[in-house]
Amino acid sequence: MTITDFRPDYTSASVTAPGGPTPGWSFAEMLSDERPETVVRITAPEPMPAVRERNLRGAFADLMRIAARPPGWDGCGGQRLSTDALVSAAQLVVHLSRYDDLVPHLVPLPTGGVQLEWHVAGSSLEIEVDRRGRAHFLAITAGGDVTLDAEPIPGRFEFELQRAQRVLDDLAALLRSAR
Amino acid sequence: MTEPANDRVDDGETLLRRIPDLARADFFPVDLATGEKRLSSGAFTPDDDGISVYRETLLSLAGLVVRAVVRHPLNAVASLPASVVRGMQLDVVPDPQPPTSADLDPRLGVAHALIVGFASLTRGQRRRRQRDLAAAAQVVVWPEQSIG
Repeated sequence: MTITDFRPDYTSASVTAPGGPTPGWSFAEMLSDERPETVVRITAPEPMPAVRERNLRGAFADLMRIAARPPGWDGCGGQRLSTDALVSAAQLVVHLSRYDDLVPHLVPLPTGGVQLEWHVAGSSLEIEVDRRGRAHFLAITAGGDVTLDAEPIPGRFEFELQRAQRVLDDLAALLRSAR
Repeated sequence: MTEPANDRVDDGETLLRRIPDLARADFFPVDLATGEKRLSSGAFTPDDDGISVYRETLLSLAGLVVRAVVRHPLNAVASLPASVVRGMQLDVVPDPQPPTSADLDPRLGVAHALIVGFASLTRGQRRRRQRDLAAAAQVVVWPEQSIG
């Protein structure tokens, strides 16, 4: 996945789903009347399975709903979701969407970030994205073992993302065994 | 009832945390295997000062009930003992606030306190504390449009 046409001082970004370098089919545009200055356009090289598209659309609708909240949304001075956090979270949602039945739960954070969470049989993966767009990965098993506690540094994002994907592989296996 | 000290929060006190849910159960992710609702660690995200809570004993002394903590019908309230917080190498300190129009009752501010001790932690340590706080907390007021 790549982000094109984005710099910190820009107010729009395009996020391309993995699978090919050529952006083609635009399947979701994150636009909001409340936030017209921010546009995140999700494109994929080709149409994807209907279930995955539905899940991604749902996740992005949640993200956009959170992004539309005004400052003070929590009644205690909560900050608005930052554009950097919005774009990073969009990246993560696209990257970590391999499993149709593991859709992230999105939690708004009063510090201007957002958290992505997956919980299966007491085990969990939680990714906190702060207002500067920096992610932190935390995975803990039902038994309390920490299997991932990492804040990717520049150049290591793909590596940590792969570790997060392996955690999701484990959660998917747990979910299959629970059914 | 024994008058609680104003300069410290006793271990035996119960702390109340407002969960600022506004829609769609943002702070209550569901375990995909069990269907059980959890309280998100995001509900215990500290700001620069710490995590705002209210002391139940002071609410009671002011004649207020737990529901006085909510500011919106979709807010929830979670409770946890001060001793549990201190068991996580965190602390709770009194932080009374003047009345604010955001609170439904102007007496609420006297019961305000802060969970502190995050400044010296790494991001991972801080997040594990948040997760432990969420796991230890019990939801005592659900949103009016209950998700339960």
